[in-house]
Amino acid sequence: MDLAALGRLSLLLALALTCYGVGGSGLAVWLRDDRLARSARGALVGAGLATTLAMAVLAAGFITSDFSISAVAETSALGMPPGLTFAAIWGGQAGSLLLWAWLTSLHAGIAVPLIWRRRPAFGPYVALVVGAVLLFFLAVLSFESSPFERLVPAPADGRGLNPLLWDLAMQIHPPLLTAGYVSFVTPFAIAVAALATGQVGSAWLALNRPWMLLAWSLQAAGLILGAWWAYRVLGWGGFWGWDPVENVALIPWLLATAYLHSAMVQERRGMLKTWNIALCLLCYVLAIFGTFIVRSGVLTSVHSFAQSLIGPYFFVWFGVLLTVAVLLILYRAPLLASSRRFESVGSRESGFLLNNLLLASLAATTFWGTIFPLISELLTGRQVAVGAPYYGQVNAPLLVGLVILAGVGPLLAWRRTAGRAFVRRLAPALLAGGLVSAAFLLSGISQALLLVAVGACAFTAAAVAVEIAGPLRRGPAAAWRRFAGERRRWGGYVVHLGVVLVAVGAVGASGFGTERAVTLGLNESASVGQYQITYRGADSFVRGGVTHVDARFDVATAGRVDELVAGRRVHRGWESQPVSDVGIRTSFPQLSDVYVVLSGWGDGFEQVSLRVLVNPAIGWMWVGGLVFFLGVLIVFWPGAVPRLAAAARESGDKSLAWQAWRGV
Amino acid sequence: MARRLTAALLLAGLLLALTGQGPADEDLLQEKTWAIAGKLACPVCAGQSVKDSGAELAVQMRAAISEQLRRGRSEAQVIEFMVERYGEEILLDPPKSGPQLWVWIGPVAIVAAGLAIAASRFDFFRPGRRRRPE
Repeated sequence: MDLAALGRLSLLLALALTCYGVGGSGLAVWLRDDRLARSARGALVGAGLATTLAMAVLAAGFITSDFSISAVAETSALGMPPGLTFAAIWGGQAGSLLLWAWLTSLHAGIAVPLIWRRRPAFGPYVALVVGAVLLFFLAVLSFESSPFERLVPAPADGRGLNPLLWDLAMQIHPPLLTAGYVSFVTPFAIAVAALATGQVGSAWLALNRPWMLLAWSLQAAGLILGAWWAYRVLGWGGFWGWDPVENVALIPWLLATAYLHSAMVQERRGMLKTWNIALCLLCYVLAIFGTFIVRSGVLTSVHSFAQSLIGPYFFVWFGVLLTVAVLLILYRAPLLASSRRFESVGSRESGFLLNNLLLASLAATTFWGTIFPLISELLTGRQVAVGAPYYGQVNAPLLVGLVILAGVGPLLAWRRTAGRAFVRRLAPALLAGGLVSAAFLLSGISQALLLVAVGACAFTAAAVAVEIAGPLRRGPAAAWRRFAGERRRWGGYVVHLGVVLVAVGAVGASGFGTERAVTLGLNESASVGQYQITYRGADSFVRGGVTHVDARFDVATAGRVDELVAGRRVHRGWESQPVSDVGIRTSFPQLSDVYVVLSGWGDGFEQVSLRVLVNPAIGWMWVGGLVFFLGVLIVFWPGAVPRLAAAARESGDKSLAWQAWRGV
Repeated sequence: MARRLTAALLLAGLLLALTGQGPADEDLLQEKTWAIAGKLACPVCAGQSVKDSGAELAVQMRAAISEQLRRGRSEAQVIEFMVERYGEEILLDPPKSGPQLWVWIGPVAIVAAGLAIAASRFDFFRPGRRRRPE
């Protein structure tokens, strides 16, 4: 049997099993039949295996360059470096959709049974929801956009991958972002189960926490890797363009961040029940909306790699999920009402409320800016654009507010904060922030927002550092015990520190960057910022079907001269899409970049035109990403929560032991 | 004393910023060009600004912006000139007037509504219900 047929067959098998899983768990809820429910769960595990097989078959097709499979012929080619095999699998429409389905099937096959074991009452509902989502994807894959179309006769060579995607980051950025999008399905399903069973107390929060953390951290990884790729490959010198496709990936992440904070208010004080469950539902609904935007091409975007005709299906699916979410919340509104109210503005819960206000506002303003061109065209017929300047004016102040809050919030006490002690703990950070702002003011920066932004970064970095340094003063052993016992809290601080570092990079590059267009003859120099750039000649060569032009430069700064190469390449078959090989030189320890893009050249390379950017401190953004994930790892790391472990030993309760080991 | 010192320092800094050596003319021109280019969409590229695009047309538009600036036109005049040529849809920074005012009203309404909802959750907005025991 050939691979294409095997792939189609395994997809159909997965579809059949999922049908049984959805129908079975639905019926089991209706009839309260436990055996039927268990068999439905088994079917979903089977569907997970079958979809995994389909994914493996597609990978085998790519590895063996079997161009009789449509998806392989579309994005693979014989001359491509083997290191790009996986980038090619998800570089096309059908392959990336299969990736979606496969990751969803992992949730059906792994998350559903785990949740079932911890909370049997939720099991059938979670199975029903995740199964229904998987069913949707498998149906679209089997009947509308299959990666396993058989091409007869098979072409001798494939079309190859879009040259912009020839990058290491493309091996991991798309699957991480997709995994993030997909993983919001389990929190969605848990929220639906909580509403359907009426068990909307705080128990579902504990159940939900690891799954929301998973989705949130995967989405963050996808976003930061996307920024890294855009910066190094696209050659426009930026890392984030407020493009519709970027925006719709950011929105669920913002809401998930809001949820992770506001859930603590419900855990501690029993408030914000409706809000938490709504956030949880909205994350996945907006993830599907995002997919609709990415796939349908209704909005102009630089990310047109995966556009197709399946957009309308996603729009309908988005509508269905939104309706279910709203109806369930309305149905359970009486149970969700909370009698408690906020007592003081200076309390931890108020801090979380403000955090949620900022994050939800950011999500909403980003959403509004993204869909406004659509609304305008529908209502007035006028084509308008909403670009980076809108987000710079609207979102930047909100983001600065969030950075400040990340420093203040952890110092607030629950219910009511004692004013004096609070000011004393905050004093070093306030001093640091004030000094940094003043220093920038003295150096001639006069934009108020920029001054607040640099001050905010210093303030929060200092506030977090003071908090982490506190236990360290009592010696490493004592500090280690405290850190290990409260990983959630200390991990949270490290995450905050990572966010601040990302903010430093963003503020540095977008607030203090310089940009010049220069034309240089051989051995001529130009200065940009504190860098002096000298053109040393260029050459052109062909390697493996790719035509390269590489120009060499000397970059001098602070008495140091470095060589730098900036070039452009044209891939055979993609002549209309030349790709820049950006020349980047990072200085240590400031982590500032000089960023050179070759934009044109004269005959015989006697003259070249360049775009040169100086991006101060941008490297801190990537460092911040790593610190962020260190924090996530600390939060996630399994280890004993001493109190729970002791209780588990005494009572012999296995679920307690599990919780103690998970520690989240 | 400390306050006076700070004030003096701030004043000195401001003076330095105002009177200090400004960038050369060509640098200033480029800075303005890039700033304006960032506010205009490149008409032939999907979702990129004139500043970020490497397309032929974007290069020409940047040259046109510099040319206009050299003739002494102001930023608003240059943008108006480009809009006349390429249409209103190239404005990435929507004007705060006409139907596009709505894109700016949105965020204000969102934040105001959020603040109102959040504030309504506090005790002090319901006088007779303060300080209930837990």
